[in-house]
Amino acid sequence: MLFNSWHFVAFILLVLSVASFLPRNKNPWKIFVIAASCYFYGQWSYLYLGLIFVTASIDFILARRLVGAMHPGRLLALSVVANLGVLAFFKYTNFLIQSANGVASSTGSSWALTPLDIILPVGISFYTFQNMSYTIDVYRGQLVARKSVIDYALFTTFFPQLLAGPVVRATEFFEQLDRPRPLDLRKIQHALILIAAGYVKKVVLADNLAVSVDEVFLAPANANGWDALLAVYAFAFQIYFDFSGYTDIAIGLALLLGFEFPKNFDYPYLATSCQEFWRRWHMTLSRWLRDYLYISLGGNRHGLTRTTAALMTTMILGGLWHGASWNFVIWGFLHGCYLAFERFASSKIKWWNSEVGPMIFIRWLITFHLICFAWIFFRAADFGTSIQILRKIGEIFTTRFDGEQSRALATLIVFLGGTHFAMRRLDIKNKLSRAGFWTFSAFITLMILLLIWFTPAKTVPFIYFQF
Amino acid sequence: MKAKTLLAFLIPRIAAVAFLLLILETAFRMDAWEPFAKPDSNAGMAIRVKKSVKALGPEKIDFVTIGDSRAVYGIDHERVAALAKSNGFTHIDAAIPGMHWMSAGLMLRWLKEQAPNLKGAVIATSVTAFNYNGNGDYELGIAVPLASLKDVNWMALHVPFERSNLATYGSYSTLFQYRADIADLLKHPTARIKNLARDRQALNGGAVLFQSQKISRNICTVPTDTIKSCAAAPLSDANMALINSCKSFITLSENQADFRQFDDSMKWPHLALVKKIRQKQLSSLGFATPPLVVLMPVPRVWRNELLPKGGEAWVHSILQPLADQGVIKLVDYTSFFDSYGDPECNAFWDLYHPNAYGQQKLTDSLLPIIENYLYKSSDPTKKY
Repeated sequence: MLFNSWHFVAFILLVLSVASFLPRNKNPWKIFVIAASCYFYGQWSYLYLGLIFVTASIDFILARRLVGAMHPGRLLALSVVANLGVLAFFKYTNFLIQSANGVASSTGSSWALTPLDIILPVGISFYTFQNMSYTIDVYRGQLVARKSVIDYALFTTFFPQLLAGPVVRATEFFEQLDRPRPLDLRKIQHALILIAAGYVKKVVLADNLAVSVDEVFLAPANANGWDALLAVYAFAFQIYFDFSGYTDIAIGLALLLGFEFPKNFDYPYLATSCQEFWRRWHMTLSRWLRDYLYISLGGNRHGLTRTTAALMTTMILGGLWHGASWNFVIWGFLHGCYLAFERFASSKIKWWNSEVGPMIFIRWLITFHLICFAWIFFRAADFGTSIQILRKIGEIFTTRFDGEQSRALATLIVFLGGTHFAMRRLDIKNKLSRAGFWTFSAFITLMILLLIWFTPAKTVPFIYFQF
Repeated sequence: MKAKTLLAFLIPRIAAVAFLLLILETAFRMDAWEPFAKPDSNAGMAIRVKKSVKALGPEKIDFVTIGDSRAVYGIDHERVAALAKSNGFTHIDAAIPGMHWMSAGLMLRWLKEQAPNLKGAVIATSVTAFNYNGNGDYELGIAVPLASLKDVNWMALHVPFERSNLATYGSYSTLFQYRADIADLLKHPTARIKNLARDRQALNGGAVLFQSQKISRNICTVPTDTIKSCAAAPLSDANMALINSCKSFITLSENQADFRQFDDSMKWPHLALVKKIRQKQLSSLGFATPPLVVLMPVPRVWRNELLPKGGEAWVHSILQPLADQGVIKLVDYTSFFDSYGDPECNAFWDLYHPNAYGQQKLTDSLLPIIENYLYKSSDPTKKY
């Protein structure tokens, strides 16, 4: 069931209506939301819903046993191995088989393994990381293991964030679950604004940009240099609007059910460094990788070499988390290199961190283009396509910028970039949350009109659902 | 939070949003978008006819030709208009590419409301236009500028509501009907401004209602005996569109439908519906002279491979009873170019449309019929 489907709209109206009649924080409410979440996930696969419960049960039991255990580290290791084992089996088995076959064939060997017939469970990367955060937090003493299996099932299956985050930490979730969560009118208004804006970001902006992006990335040979360059810029905005749109809807829905989820995006393309980009892009994943991986690998406490190694490992694994493909490894590697270089530059080059206006602009321009460069590998189906796109972009020096479509797309990208900047400057989201009756009504009307007029014929699934 | 507080918050806001949407819906229903509509879009072409009729003076109109692109390219409208003029009548062309029975019905109704002296019509259709009741949601674009609230059922009958297809919502709401037009304006604003300015000049007192569209190329460079031979022909810039269109028809030709078993029972409800609605529509036009229904030429390969088997007989089973009752006059030019003296390929510019040569030949044959049937039997001085 996609967020951008009528089925989901009917589902959410029913869930919110019924949930509002049940007493919050009581078991009937929790059981109802768990049941709704199971139905939501079951629309995709009831079989894999079982998988969620199996991994969640392992984590729940192990976390309970961690308390006072003789060897808590072993129990934690068991939990990590179980979670990563399931993730690795479903996500990386065929990747490893194909890579091994590739190595074998490049050495002239006829040896080959047959790829397994595996369907990747939707949301597995997200709920695996969430479950791991629970056992790790319990192990670290930052969280008391839950006694209630209902609470834990709610945390694991909570539908607004089940498929693609935000990656909510167990501490954040349970801390809210344990206290009264009054829903005031300002929060409702804020939630409705987030949901409406989220749908517009996804359906109107991302899905329309997808048309131009797909045209180039699916058949780069037919594009000219400018088309290819514009498609890369367009993809940067497509993926932002797609994922942040989804996140806005998820956060809005969670808010209507009484949970305040952490922010996942904070105008990432305004970042003037890659480090800042990662503080603004998919913030909950960045935070997870920092707290549970980067710091565990030593973080920045052991000199430049260890820090660089930790950064590279974190970013490459972060890339691989997105998908089982060498292109995601390259994407992660590139970001690792960017971050490592920035660390080096900011410690060794005096003017690097200058706050003089033109320098800030130059840093922003470089950062934005480095990120766009990495997006090429993220979006392209394989390495060969990425190289083809890069070659095409190289042709811009010999190709005239022409074509009404290209001009329209370029205008749209400039417009979207400007909007990105203005939205932050003017703090529009927060102002709208406090807006009066008619401003709020006019905003919702405008969002509905945009959806009516600009919803493309083809429904595009959320990009991050495939991860 | 109490439910009462929540409802007190939500209900006025939902009402306000509904109110604002209603205002916009009303504005669109009152043709507020017409001045900005893309001239060559489906809606734009219908608007152009409306504007031209008003510029010409609707009271001057005696006869009209309506139909789809086969009528646009297949009939020399200038010659028809000249012949009408010599008989003391004004005969306009209101055919629009993509027009099907739903929008044709609305166009005739609109013209009858506007033109008090409208005496009769040439309805140029083809045997391909009776396979389905509607012809896709794109037709709503043509219908929008001609429709009013009372036409909702008529439009929904031809373009049924599909939950997953927002375009079909246009049968019920004008806000949905101009979706493509508004999106296009945003994508190409400067082109729209230029086109609108050019179109305003082109209206020129309704001259557009008497113009012919002529395309000179033919399809003789590609073998069109069968869809497969056409699809397999070597590609060149000149014939690429034709060959690609043949390629797109291969699956259809391999799965040719068969209408021969249709027996007026409810075995195929959609065909029964087509028969019922078309007969009812043609019987209730209410012109002084029953309309002249012309079945425009269809290439042989289309008739052999793409038209359902028994398709021509099926169309005749709808129209012939009406002709026999005198409700319509039927002229069947379906296979006109099989035996007009030249190879068929000389008369078409693609698999649908007659070219300038075909148009000339067809018009040569059609003019005397129009003159005898429509003009000679009418009195130019009589008010209807």
